[in-house]
Amino acid sequence: MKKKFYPDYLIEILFFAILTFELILILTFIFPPLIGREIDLLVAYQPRPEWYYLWLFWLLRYFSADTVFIGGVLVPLSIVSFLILVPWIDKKIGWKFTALIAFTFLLIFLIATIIEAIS
Amino acid sequence: MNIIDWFLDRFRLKTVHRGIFDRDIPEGISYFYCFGGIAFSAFLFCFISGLFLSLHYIPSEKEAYQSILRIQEEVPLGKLIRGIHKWSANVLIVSIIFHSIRVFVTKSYRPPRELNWVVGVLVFLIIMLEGFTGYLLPWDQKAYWATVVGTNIAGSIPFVGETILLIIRGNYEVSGVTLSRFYSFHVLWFPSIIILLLWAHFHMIKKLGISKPL
Amino acid sequence: MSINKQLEKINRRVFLKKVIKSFFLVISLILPFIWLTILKPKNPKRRDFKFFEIPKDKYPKEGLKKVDIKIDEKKYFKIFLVNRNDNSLIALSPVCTHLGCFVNFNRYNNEFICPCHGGRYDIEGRVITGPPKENLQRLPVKIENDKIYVGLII
Repeated sequence: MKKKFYPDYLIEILFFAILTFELILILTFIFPPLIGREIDLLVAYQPRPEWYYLWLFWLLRYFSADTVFIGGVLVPLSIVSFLILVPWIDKKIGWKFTALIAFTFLLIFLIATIIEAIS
Repeated sequence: MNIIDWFLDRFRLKTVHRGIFDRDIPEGISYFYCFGGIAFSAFLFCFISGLFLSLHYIPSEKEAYQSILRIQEEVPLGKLIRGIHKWSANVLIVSIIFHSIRVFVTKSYRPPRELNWVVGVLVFLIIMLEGFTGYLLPWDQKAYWATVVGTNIAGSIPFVGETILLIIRGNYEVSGVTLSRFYSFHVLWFPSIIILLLWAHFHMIKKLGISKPL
Repeated sequence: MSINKQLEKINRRVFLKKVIKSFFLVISLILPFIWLTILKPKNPKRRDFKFFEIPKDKYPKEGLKKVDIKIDEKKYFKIFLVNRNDNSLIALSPVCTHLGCFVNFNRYNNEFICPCHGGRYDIEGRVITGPPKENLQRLPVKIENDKIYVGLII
């Protein structure tokens, strides 16, 4: 018998939704949300972005003040436009090379996040 | 005819040509296909907990921090809901990353599904922007300085940087104006765009079907 | 119906379709424009120097002193006052010229260090290394009636 979306597949989705919710609850209880101190212009403060922006934060170390926009604007924009254009890039250069580029991005993302997270 | 059947019929959920429930699912779908569903449920958790949070949050320069403190300490379940909001956002981003890896590896973005891939990338982009705008809302040290740095990056673009900075901040400094517009983006603009895009995403999945596994 | 009339009807259709399309095109062009116009402030407060008095006891005898300046009831702002060897006084803004974090002063190396991306400045605010290109901003110092005033951009 062919699988139908309803109910065969929907029940699995629901199962995963509940699992996700439990995961979120567990995370909430282990790491409850914190609130920082009130805005204070007296102390130096090192802001750290959420983990999904850490790679950008890491990248900005290597761009001096007059080239910040390259690291902070052009690089993210080019990554986004690469992602948008993936179906056509795939058509042009084949899946393997596209995968190579994408994998490089992912690897840099992971490494930069880890470096920035432990430093 | 009981009331549920009546509703489903009048809502035209049960007619064959429109039914979203009556789709066939190709054979051999593995559990790697679940990340899209997980991402969507995480989005829903985010959305619902955000609705609850917005009942108590005040987006103003003077009150924002105090209201977050109130949510943390006085509001019943406030801390829990804030935690759910935060962690479901994290789970959302992780699962979107896995979902897009899965789509990439199974080559599901190939014609005729290119547009669906593009829509997915846009959703991802806006979710990232949600993360950035949501970061300012607690109006504490971390929020303030992260936004100062983040918006300064946009301000560093040559020639148009200052204009862009003014458009983002609404002022030369990060101030109450910035807070209220980030709040508006975070709770109105971006979620409505995301919902529109997600509708398009699901519509295309429905019409084109899930891609056959390799 | 004559053939002419039918043709007229088809032309009418084509025309109406074009009108509808251009209507939506115009709307979709206008909306982003409105969006940007609304977001861009009309008269953003130009940043201008406002002068604040520095209490006598905050005056650095030598080297550097961190001074907290009261702006209003609850708001304070910190600056660095540096007494150079030739007994002239400079005031340095703590805002890093890279991305706007506040710098710290390190007494061991006599350097300012930005915690964000590791930019370093010497005691007079000149860049040593790191991503920043410009020196720390020098704030104007005014001496009137034996009192020292520092201009802040608030």
